[in-house]
Amino acid sequence: MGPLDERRRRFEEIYAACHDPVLGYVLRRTEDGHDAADVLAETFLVAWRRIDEIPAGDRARPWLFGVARRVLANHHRGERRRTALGDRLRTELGDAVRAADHHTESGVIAEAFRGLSDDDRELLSLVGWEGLDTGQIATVLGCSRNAVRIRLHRARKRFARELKNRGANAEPHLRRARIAEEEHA
Amino acid sequence: MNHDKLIRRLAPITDEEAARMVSPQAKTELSEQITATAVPARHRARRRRGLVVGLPLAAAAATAAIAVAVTSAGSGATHATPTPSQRPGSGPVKVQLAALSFSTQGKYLVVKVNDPLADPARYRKEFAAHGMDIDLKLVPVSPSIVGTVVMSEGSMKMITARGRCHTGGGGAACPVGVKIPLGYKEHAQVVFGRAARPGEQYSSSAPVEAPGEVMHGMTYRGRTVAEVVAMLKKRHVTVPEYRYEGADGDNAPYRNGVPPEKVQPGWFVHDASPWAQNQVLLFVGPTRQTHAPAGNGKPPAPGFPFATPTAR
Repeated sequence: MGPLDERRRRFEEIYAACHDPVLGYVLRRTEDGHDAADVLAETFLVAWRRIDEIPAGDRARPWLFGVARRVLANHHRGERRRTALGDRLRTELGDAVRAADHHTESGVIAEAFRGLSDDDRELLSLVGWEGLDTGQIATVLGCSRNAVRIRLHRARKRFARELKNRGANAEPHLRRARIAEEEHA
Repeated sequence: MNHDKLIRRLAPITDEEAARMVSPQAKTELSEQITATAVPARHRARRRRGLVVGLPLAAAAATAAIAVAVTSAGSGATHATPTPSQRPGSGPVKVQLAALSFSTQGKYLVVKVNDPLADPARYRKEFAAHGMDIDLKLVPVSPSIVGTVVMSEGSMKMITARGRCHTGGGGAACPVGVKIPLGYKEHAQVVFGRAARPGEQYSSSAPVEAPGEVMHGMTYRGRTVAEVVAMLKKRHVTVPEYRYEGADGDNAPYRNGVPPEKVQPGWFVHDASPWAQNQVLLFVGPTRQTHAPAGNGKPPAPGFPFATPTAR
């Protein structure tokens, strides 16, 4: 462990680079701004305390997602940690999330996605929402790449089945997604 | 195979949208507050422990007993370097029970805590005797969640006991233990709640009105401080800490909690939280807040401008 200044410098670097992605990660998984603020604060508090364990470079972000994931799970389980942190953030996020009125996607695809287990959804979200590759997901989940590959494969199969059960064929939707993306570009 | 694009479109919010919800000040404030917290003693303690070789004799014996009882797990880990100061050599040998008990259930190892006040190092050793790298910690918690899992890392499975406790987010599904796959080698941390000693601040708590908590069954939101304090007095509960929340949810001018002597008896109570044995923390302010009817399972939305540091 380096001196405090060194520790602080590293933290600030990680914080600057990862604040937005971690906030995005959390907000995509909770509908309550106050919860999101608590989870974000707790996640970075863990980062501060365990700074020596944070992998260098690009792997810091998935590591933080892993922490956020556990904090979130504990939060859902009812653990509400009292911290002196992020009062302003709580207020702002509380208001912003209420105002944003979380657009919950409707339609077959959303339904099919919601029909999956939490684990499957998380895995597919890490790819689709956070844009992570297998190695990074392995860091988030604390398992091997191989395990991620296998689980991902199964999750995708189950998603396809959910889609099929709902009479949806992925193809036209995919085409629509592609078109939308091109328009966007 | 690309379902990923479909899923991407389901994302409720992008990083950019999320970032726009937070002001630069809030972002900086959080970072500053975090780096102002003490650097954990945990790390230093762990290092020091790493250097102290050997176990108190009794603990070593206990570990061996477990190893025999469950599997023939490697006793190689328990190299008992003599630690003469640890125990008197004579006198009746008090058999120290194992801090943890292990049993197997199918593909899982079931761990129960026998001694909730044991040194965490003992737990770690006993886990190590099973070839596992698990940190078990016990933190003081409010009465209704004593003996439950407060936090866990790694891919452990929760054992829940419905109705055994009530948690804010988990409802009645009370996590009372963890299941660890046999042969689990990754590092993991699990934190259980233990009873707090008198005056010891809770690290974690159930909602203050949950069954078993000191304000169970009490209607207090929107009442005045004077009324609530009087109600609490009948239950022998005191209020050592207050948090301030003004009309717009802002906690200025008392960002770090309002000193009890500044709290006006006519202020309103917004929320409460267990603090320590027979002590609660009250969220208060000069304007009455609208409160959702209690008991809908959701944590009260306007509350929690936390300023209570966790006791660690």
